[in-house]
Amino acid sequence: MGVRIAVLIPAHNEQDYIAATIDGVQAQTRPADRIIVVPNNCDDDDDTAKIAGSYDGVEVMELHGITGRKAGALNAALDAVLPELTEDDLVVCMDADTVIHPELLENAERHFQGEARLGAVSSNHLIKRFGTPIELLQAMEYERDRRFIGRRKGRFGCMTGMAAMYRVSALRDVKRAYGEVYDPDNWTEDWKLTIALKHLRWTMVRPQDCLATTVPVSDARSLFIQRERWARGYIQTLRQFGFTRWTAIPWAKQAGLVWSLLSRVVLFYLLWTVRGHLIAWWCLPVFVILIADSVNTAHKAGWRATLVALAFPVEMIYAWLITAAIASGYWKQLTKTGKKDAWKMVRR
Amino acid sequence: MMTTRVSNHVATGGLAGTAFGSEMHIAWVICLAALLISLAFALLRFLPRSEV
Repeated sequence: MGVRIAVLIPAHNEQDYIAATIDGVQAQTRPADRIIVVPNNCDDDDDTAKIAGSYDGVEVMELHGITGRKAGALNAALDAVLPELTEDDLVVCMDADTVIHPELLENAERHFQGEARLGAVSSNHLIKRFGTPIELLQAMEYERDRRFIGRRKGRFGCMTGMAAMYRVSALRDVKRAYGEVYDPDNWTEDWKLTIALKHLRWTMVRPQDCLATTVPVSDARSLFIQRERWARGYIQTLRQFGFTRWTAIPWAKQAGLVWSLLSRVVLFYLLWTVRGHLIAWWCLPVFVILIADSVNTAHKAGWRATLVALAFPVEMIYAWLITAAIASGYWKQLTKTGKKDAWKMVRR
Repeated sequence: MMTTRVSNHVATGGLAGTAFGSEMHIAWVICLAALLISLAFALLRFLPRSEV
């Protein structure tokens, strides 16, 4: 029997997006062997399960009262699916608001062939909805992320929760070593799984031929909440694993974050103190290069992105917002404040 | 000595010799370093490299 692919789609109140997500999975050049939608604690008036159930070839595993949010739903689905799969079968875990591009399953499966220790293949993400400035700025950020990872041959980054394919033996390894595949107590279960796989000596890749389009958050407040959560999960995971060969680089990156925060605070201080005297003649060519870099790295996100990249201060404000969210997330996690912050749905 | 208008102002003006003046110099050094680091990374990103 050939390799089988099971696609798991946890969904919490996703009635607005689930149809497009399923359409994307069913339009694959390499069809999935199983498609399982997992409506998880959906509201009574939400039609996610009903919509998913109307598709031929889609199984619906509705869960009520389950704890652990998305991680809990995925663990429950994996508990049901993994026993029926062989070691080299593949499982795709993906968000219910993400549309995978038509060749994703075929390309991802090909990456696994002949790579016995390849544990996961993640998609790279694009944003194609530009209804608000925040959405456009995220599209630029995601495009830069894709470019950055591509230039490092995909050997970098998180196996994202938006869409990633895992080898069954790798998932079983994680379950044996850590009790659950996805940690329901972690703010970012996909980052935790990535680091866990590294510690179990599995390799991972994020190739450019595996793309998915996802839905961005639509306003600054939702973005702040989302990035605060990501930051909490990031530092939570690093602290759980400590300083190891596999966490050394992520830890080192924290120095970069501290530097970024410090330099931004100092820049604010200077702007406040000297106001109009801040700009010197030599700044001009430097800023020309920085703006050219901004355009160069984001122009593939479209002409709107190019315009925003030319308006350099807009992106500076966005970067400050992200940095503030990360700093706030770290602060809450490290001081154990914000415990009452329930996992909030962000506005999309 | 920084050669920008503001540092000259700080060094020779009413703020010279005060703690505030030295803070300003440190702030300038940090900002300048941040700018140069950003510039270096920007130039690296212009280098052609295949995306895989």
